[in-house]
Parts: sequence; C-alpha cells; structure tokens
Amino acid sequence: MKKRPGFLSATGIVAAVVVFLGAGAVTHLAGPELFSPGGLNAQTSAGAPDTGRAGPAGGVASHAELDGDCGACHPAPWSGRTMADGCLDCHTGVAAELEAGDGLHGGLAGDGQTPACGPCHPEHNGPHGALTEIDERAFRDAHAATGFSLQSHAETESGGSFACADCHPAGYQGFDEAVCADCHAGIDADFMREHEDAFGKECLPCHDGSGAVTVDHDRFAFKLTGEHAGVACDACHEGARSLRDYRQAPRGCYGCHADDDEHDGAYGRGCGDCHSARGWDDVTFDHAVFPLDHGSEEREPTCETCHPGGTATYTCYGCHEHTTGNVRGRHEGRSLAELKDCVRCHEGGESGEGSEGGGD
Amino acid sequence: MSSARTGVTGQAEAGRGAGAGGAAARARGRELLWALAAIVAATALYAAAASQAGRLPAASGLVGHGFGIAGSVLMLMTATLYSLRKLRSDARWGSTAAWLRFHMVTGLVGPYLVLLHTAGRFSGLAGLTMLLTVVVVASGLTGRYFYTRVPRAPEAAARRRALATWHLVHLPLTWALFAAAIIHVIAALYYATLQR
Repeated sequence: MKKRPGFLSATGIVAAVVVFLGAGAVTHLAGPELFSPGGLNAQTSAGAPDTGRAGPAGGVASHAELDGDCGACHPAPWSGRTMADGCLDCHTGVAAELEAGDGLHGGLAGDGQTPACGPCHPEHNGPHGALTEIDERAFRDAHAATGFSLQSHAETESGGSFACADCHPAGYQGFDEAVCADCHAGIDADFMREHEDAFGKECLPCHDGSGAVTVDHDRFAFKLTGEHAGVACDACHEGARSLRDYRQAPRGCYGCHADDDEHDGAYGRGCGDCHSARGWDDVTFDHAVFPLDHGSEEREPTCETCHPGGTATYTCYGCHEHTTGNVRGRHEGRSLAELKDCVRCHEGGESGEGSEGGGD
Repeated sequence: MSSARTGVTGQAEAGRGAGAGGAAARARGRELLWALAAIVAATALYAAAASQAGRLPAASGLVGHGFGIAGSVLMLMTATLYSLRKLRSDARWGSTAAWLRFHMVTGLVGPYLVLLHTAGRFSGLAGLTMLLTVVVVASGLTGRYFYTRVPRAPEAAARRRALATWHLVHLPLTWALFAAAIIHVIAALYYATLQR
C-alpha cells in the first residue's frame, strides 16, 4: 500500500469541510459580520464634527447602524471605488474641504489627492472606540503640507507635548496668528513686544515653523543673489533681535569679507568693480582706462606688473624696455614727476605716441 | 544507504531521549529552549515596534501582518514537514527525531507570532481562529506529554493506543484551524488588504 503523509486524515478533511460549511451557513444566515474585527462606533452625527450637515447622513445616525452592512463602507476590491469614496458620500463637509483644498482636511491633503481616511480614523473599535487616532509622527509630516511645519514645535516651553487645540483653540479649520503672539509673549514678553514693533503682527510670512526664517530679501536694498542666496541669516545679522539690529548689517563687501581679500587691501574696497556675488572667481574686469595689450602681445600682464603698490598708483617702469635711464634720455626737459606719469602723454601706451611731441 | 537507521523510527529515537540519563534529558528539553529563545527574540522585536509606534502594532500594519504571515508559515511547516519526513526511510534529510523537535519548535513559535499578530483583538472569525490555534497547541503539548512521559514498556500497546487516540483529536483540530485561517485570510484580503 502506498504510504501517505500522516496529516492527510479523513477526519481532518471532514473537520475542515465542517468549518467551511459552518462559516458559509453563518454568513448566509447572519451576514458577513462574522468577519468583522469589532463593533462600529455609536457616536451620533449630532456630535460628529466636520460632517457638514446637521442630521443623519447616508440614512444613518451613527456608524453602528451600519454594523453588518459591510458593503456600505467596504466596496468590492474590483468595483473601482475606494473606502474614502464611501466616507465622503456621507461626510460631505470633508469632501467639500478636499475639493476646495482648504480647511483641516484640504490643508492636510496638500496636493489635491484624496487621502485614505483609515490611517487617522480607525473603526471597529467598539461603540465607544476612538474615531480619530493620529499617528503623531505621520501627522507632523502631513502638517507641513499646510505650509507650516511642526518641526519647531516638538514640545512646549515646559517640555510637554502639544495638543492640536493649543494652536487651534477655535477649531481646526483655520489658524489665528494671535495664538503665536499670545504663547510666545508668555515665553519672552519683552522680545515679542520689540519683535512686533519691528516686524508687525503677521508671523507666517517669515516663519514657516521649520525653524528657518523665510524672508523675502528682495524687498530690501541688499539682494541675496548668487552665493549670498544660501547664506544663513546669522552670517550677516549675527545676534540681531530687532529691526534696528537687522538694519545694522554691513552693506559693503568689507563688512563681511575683509578676511577674504587676497589682495590684502591693495586694490581698495571696491570689490564689486571686479567681483560679483556669483563667487570670487567669477571676475569681470574691464580695464577700459588703459589697454592691457598695448605695445606687446607676448606678455600677459598681471595687476602687480603695473600696480605693485596697489591700484591707486601705477608705474610703467620695471616692464619692457622702460628704465629710468633710457626714458630720461628721450625726454629731455621733463620733470621727474612728469616722467613717472607716462599715461599723461601716452594714453594708449603705443610706441610713437605722445601728445606733446616727446616721441617714444 | 543508511541501513543502520532505516528501521529506526522517530519515536524510537525520541524514546531514547525520554529514557533516563542526563544527556538524554537535556536533548529532550532542547526544543523547548530553542522555542523559548525564538519567542523572546520575537517579543523583543514586537516590543521595539510597539514602543516606536506608541501602541501595539495593528494586525493590518507592516509589523502585524509580518508576524501573522510568518506565524502562519511556521504553523503550516509544523503541520506538514514532520509528517512528510516520516514517509522517508533514508536519513539524508535529517533524523526523524530532529524533525519532531523542529515540529515542536515551529508549533510553539508560529502560534506565538500569530498571537502577536492579533494585537489583543479576538473578535469574529479571527478570534475564533486564534482560539483554535491555542486549542491545537494545547493538544500538541498533550501529545508531547504522552510521548515522553507515558512508559514505553511494558505497556507498549496501551501507549500506542493512547497516541492513536490523541492523533484522532489532534489532526481534525489542526484541519479545522487551517480551514478557519484560510477563511480569515480571504476575508482580510477582501475587506482590508485589497481595499484602497
């Protein structure tokens, strides 16, 4: 006789069939509630927030009235409908928020997608189970979609955790910036008074809750372009606490970049003549006052060739054939001061030039 | 060919373990230690997930589902592998006694993972399935008791009868459990997993 595995027993198979038939019979007689993981919430719509209506919705006054009618919320997976569709059929107020992209749900949904309701609104926790259970970490991420991150509000001044109503005492549909002022005045009243005097009472244009201050700096004379765009506020406004402080930020390059001057001050402080905010290496220098390629094309003069003592002065000596000896020989009758200021007569630096007939 | 072991049944090998002697006694309890170690590890993993989430991992979540699926697979292995091994007479696939120990380890660890999967909720068919799981484990432990404690000789026939009777109960219970589990999985797929 062929051996068969021990688990293949006739009584076992009969037992399995009994279970299948039993489950089928119970489902047939009592509905699919056998598969319910728990009873539905019995809170009536009168006490339900955000439903956008006063009376019963979808023909019922509470979820509990749908107990056993699983299909009311659970569409067949192949039907093309989502559970959220079922929620929004009744919760028209929430649907309107999502449609308009504002209010609590519209703000949190962010990109116009209809989010799943279940992650925040569990069911089957019995008639008195919580209908809203927020996973704090996920919610904190989601809150950034409203334009205000909760990153800087991880805990209260006393180290406790924030409740929604701390910032939204009048409901979650909107936000009053006076709440910021009230709370922060309690932390440092003097600072808040000074801060409001300087910047006004609108917090959100500059503060998005991430800890970084987002200021439209283009409103000011000093535009943050190029390399300045990513600079932290403190780099220019160190320790600034008031508008007066902020206005005292240095405006000249040397205010911040004195240590960066590779010319050791020799070329003056007009950095912007040659450099831009695009970076120190991005030099745009127009030596219009005197042609650098005069006379010879063989040499690339450096600044130091003609300006060894800085750009305030220049000299033609030390280059080419110019020595005090041979120049003096060709310029009889000229004073020493005149002989140092070659460009006065040789404006283009060309050989043979000379406005007063001096020759080259 | 492993002729030396061909005629040796798993029961006889385990029977050696059941006999007197320190080493044999240690071998007998070893599977319980393995099971305990796995249960402690699973508990630590579950506790870490729970403390991170701030609540018990939901049965439908990644952790909850993971434990449920892993537990079911272990239980399925429990139900089949030892039986299949007993069909084989050569020892290439490991001794029958070792497979019996494996059967006991997975038979304890699998249900424990399934218990964690429930997140403490036992309503409906899911709760019934968990109850059946507990019953089958209890039945298995009873079988183990017969196996190791009931004297082998001189009442070998009585012992065989006791084990046969136990088998007659343990197998249908196991089949009922898997039938309930299959319905539970289909229902969970329909009402939760496949929902968007």
